[in-house]
Amino acid sequence: MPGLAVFWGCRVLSGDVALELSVRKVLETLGVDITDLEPQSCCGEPIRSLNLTASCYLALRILALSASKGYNEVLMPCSKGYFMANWSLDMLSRSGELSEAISKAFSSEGLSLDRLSRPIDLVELVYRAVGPEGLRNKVEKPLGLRVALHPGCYFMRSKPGTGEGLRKLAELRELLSAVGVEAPYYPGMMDCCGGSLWLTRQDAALTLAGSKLKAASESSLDCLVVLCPSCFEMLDARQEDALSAVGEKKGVPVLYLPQLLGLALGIDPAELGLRFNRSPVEELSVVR
Amino acid sequence: MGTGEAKIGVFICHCGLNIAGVIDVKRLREMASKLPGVVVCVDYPYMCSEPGQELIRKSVAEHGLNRVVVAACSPSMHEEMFRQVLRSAGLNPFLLEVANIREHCSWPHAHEPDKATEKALKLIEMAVAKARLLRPIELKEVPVARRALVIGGGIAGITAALDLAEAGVEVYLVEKEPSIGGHMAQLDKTFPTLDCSACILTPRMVQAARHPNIRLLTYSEVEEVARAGGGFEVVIRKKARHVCEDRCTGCGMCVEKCPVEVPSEFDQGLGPRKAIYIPFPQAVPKVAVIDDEHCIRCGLCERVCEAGAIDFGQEDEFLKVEVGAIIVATGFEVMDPWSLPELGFLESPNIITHLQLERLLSSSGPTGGKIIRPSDGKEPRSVVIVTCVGSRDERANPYCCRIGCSIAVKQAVLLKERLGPEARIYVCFMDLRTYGRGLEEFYAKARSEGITFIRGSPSDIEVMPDGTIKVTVFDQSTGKLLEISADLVVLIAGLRPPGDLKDLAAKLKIPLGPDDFLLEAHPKLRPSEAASRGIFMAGACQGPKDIVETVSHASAAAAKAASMLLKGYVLSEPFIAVVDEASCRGCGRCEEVCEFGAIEVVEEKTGRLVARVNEALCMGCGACSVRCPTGAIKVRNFGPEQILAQVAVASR
Amino acid sequence: MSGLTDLMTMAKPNEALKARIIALLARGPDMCLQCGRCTSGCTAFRLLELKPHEIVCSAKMGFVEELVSSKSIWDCALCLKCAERCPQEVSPYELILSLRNEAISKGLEIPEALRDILMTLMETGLAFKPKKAVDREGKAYGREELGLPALRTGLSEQALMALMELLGGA
Repeated sequence: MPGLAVFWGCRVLSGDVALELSVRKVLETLGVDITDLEPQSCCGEPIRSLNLTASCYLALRILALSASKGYNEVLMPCSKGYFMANWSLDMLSRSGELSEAISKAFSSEGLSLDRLSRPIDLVELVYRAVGPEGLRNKVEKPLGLRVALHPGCYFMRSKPGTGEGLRKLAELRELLSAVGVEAPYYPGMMDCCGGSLWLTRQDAALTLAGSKLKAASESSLDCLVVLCPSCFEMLDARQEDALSAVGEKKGVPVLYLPQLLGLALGIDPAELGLRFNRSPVEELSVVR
Repeated sequence: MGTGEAKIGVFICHCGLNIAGVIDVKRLREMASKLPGVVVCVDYPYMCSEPGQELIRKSVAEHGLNRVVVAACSPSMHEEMFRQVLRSAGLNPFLLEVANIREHCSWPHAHEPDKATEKALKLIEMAVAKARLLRPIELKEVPVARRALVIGGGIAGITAALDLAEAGVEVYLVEKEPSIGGHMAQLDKTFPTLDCSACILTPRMVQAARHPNIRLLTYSEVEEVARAGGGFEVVIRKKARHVCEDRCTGCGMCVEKCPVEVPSEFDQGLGPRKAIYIPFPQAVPKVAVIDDEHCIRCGLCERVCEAGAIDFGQEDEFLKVEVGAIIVATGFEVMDPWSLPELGFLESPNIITHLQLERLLSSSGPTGGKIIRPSDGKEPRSVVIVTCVGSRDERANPYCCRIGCSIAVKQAVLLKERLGPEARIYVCFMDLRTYGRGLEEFYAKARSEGITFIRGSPSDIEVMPDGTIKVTVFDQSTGKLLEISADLVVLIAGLRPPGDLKDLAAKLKIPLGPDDFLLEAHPKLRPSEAASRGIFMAGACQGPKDIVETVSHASAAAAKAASMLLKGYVLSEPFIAVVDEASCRGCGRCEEVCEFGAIEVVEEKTGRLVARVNEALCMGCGACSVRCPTGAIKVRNFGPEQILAQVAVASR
Repeated sequence: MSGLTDLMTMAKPNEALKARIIALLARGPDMCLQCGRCTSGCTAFRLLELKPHEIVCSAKMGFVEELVSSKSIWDCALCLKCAERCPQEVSPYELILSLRNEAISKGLEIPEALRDILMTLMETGLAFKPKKAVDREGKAYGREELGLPALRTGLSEQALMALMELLGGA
């Protein structure tokens, strides 16, 4: 099997290095090889409101480009990128007109809809590559945390209505439990962070992020754990504004899933990019 | 009869406007009357009516017809009836050919009448070409045993078994659980009359067990089914109970002493049962059973059993029985609502299914009929009932569960009665379809008792740390987004075919519908029969039904089975494979491809090998005919000559 | 004129526009059985004016012009809850996206942030410009300083052309 390509996405490349650093480090520690897909381009997510066909084109182009370079699969650590890939594949299956338009758009670059890489996300990759048992064997520092997991809309609903989200959530919980992390249900667990609303209604988006932070605080769990850079942006980078939108003051530590896994694997917090988290992560003893 | 030069009559039905509204019947008649061999061609508004049938009979006599072509609706509608018309006209009934110009022409091509007419003419030409080559078929009377197998001991199976037994048919009633009773035994009260379910069911259970014509086989499953003679040979596995049925007195001593507790299936996990158990107080037979999976073989039950009924060495038994008819009455399952994406992540004992609520309502249930909040045992002050959970839902069951709305109304009324007038009961519904006698009135009664009905389907359900459930629903009547704080949420979960229905259908070689329930022979005219002879269906195995419908359906199935069995014989199947022994080389290819084990190559006294068809087993599929290198084996009236004659016309 | 009239606005259904708007939807608004679950769970309805069931039902009846020009289609948080939970797999959010597509192609509305993204996309092939990472002390780091490989980014010229063509006049 040719190696695994990785598509990072715009948010990561525009300075959100916490995800990139921690994913690279964790996969290296777990012995999983990844190769950067080049050149990296927009996944189409932000322009869905503009033109559905064009956004599908951009998403499918990544899968086609990756396949043309010989990769069967492409890792998409960003939940929105992963969603876009799956949604575009679904769109293809329902409209002949759409696939015709995209085939035509592909032709000038010699790409084809017949050869597309399969998108996979970080949870599926870790689950398949090492599994909960393999992960448990590599734990250096069992975390003993109870976290407010924010799976995020684009992780839970990457294939809406199929029950896929519940399966993925179960796998994610198994992985977390292997590193000594419990992620119980809390009211508001499935609520949206407001990330996609940011483009059109910023006040409301901040209120959503604030409510989410409040729900996490009220759950009296140790920290908020996110998977998607869009959620991270709303809940970590914009945390101060989000809190003030709902009249709250108390900060909530926000960690990326791979940062959490990395801590358990004994990776130095500095190497996991924790200095790029804006939220009060130092409140967690495992970070110090 | 039926030989010599073909004299064909073509009879074109208008089917009111169903056919004549699209197809140019007059032109069709003119064209068809010119076809070779056709001596008369007539059209008539309703060929299936008495005057229509008489028209065929008269024409046969008048024109000396020896073949008949009817151009009308699907042969699955009226072919059998038209065959009887031929018989009464003195012709062999199999000298009939039906051209389906309704389902195949006027209905699907309603918007292109010219093409529909052209296609109808083609189909009539094909039918005429085939009719010319039809041969008469004589049917044999094959004796059938006056015995029936009923699979499933719920209210459907019990009803069918009792009706058959009363008609003088011997019945094997097979139930996979340790007791008969099915889902109805789990219910508290039934809608709309609020009869106590156990009070009306229990006497029927006892009656079934005591009836001299019924042999009850509980904790048993159908292992194999094979056609034999006019009926079936069935192997039944009687699973080891590890308790002697004829010794056990049902005293319950063993149950009391057993140290192992597991969640009770009968109580839907709301209460415990022991590893040795009697599923419920009114169980029939009232005999204990040991659950092998959980029994630790401590031997306590054996020590306390005064009757000496415990037998750890007991093994599964296999019974071979011969029956003339099989009635499937395997019922339904309540789907797992936690498989739905909006519910699957919630963790709360205070969200239950309607079947779980029945157990809480039941006086023989885990709480003795006291309604509690499972998390802390307190009495709920506010309950939300949600309908259509997984029903009318493309993600789960696209079909309606048919009883959910009435269950919701009933449970709301019962909850109000038990919890008192101050308790708040809310029903959130997508549509409220309380069809059926007395049910609209029942819904009115519920409204008059202060139950709040909300036109809306909740999406977000949250579990609060104190165990309270927050249900958010948009009420379309007021345009308000309502948050309901509830102690208990009841999900009216959709109904599904039982998980093992597919296997059973495969054993019986009968098809399932697109909803995975059993497919009836005809949705209007033969709703309680399978397409295969001798197999009938009763109750919810054919689709969700309430108790009234289930009982009616079961009685219908029993009546159908009885009318077949009491005659004592069935007619052999007309369209089976026959071997022309002169041209058969005994190569055995037909035997290889026959899915039904109906062909065997035998050695004749002369040492010559020849294929023989077991008429009872042959289903007339024709696989043998396709495979035969010499054309020696053919399905009667569907041989290469008849098929190719049609193909020749079609491809012209 | 025969057929429906909305007496509040005297509007008539526009079937041709409706057909164009629902062309890419798997199960369009016609399949809606009016349960209102989408609105029950709508993230945006709690904060803004969005009632997805009204949008779906208006589209179902063909009253699409008012939807294209409505402000509420821009309230959707794209949380996908309606798509996940609709018992008829109608996916109201996709309908809303399609209505936004129409509004933009008619030049009725294009939110500021979206305009910026489009400009950046045409310029760099990414939706957001590559930037240095800034830590909590305000110190900026290039990829090299963090031990991260330099990554080529952007869209090929052919891809940009293809994208422009798909976007049409937008």
